[in-house]
Amino acid sequence: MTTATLQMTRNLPAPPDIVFAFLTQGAHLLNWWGPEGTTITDNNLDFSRPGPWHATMVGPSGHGARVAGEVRHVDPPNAVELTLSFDMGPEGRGPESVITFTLSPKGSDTLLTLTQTGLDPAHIDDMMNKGWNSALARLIALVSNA
Amino acid sequence: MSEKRNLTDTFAALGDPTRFAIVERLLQDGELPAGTLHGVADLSAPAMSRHLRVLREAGIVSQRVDAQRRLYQVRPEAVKAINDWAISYADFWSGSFDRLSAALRKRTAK
Repeated sequence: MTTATLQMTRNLPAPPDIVFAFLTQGAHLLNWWGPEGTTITDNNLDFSRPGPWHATMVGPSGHGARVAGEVRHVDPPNAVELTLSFDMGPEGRGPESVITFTLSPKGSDTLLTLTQTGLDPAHIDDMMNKGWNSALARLIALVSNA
Repeated sequence: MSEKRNLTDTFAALGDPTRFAIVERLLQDGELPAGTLHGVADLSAPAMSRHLRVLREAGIVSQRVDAQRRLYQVRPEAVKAINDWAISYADFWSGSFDRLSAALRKRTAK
């Protein structure tokens, strides 16, 4: 199965050790994980140590989604790697993607790079097939950073 | 031609590596004359015109004439369509990072 990769970069207004804490500690994660309007309910969020994690996100519409995965690798304040998949209830778990956060100092700021691989291409399958995903990832990155 | 484009057409047009490279260049550099775009790939002028026509017909790029030059740019509607399609995660992270950035800024302000 072909999968898609997403890569995004963001300049964040704090040095890497602070950004790393915000990125990995449960109390901080509750404040930013998910787009505006998202509330985290049941969870054990903590990306500062290897092991399983899960969280239920409730969107502005009131619909909830349970996501879960495993923190695989923690290298403060440089990198964190974790897996993520959606819990589809009776249908089991959705496809697993691997998320890597990489931090590098940039002046007094931090350049955060997100790489997410193994994305479910189910909804793209019928639109494209051959060798187009890496190009698509580049395009999405450009569009997202525009 | 209908304004409502099919995203499948967008992706079909972008499935060609040369056309993809043209769009990538336009996304990075903004509006460019056809002459500058020849550098994207080793193409004859007629071949480049053909690619640009396909991109125009798919609603991905727009063309305007400025004196003797034809200027091309990616249509914001096309970018939005691609972006909307990619929402699942790109938007998720983009929204999350906005909040992360705001939280960090609040901390710095203290």
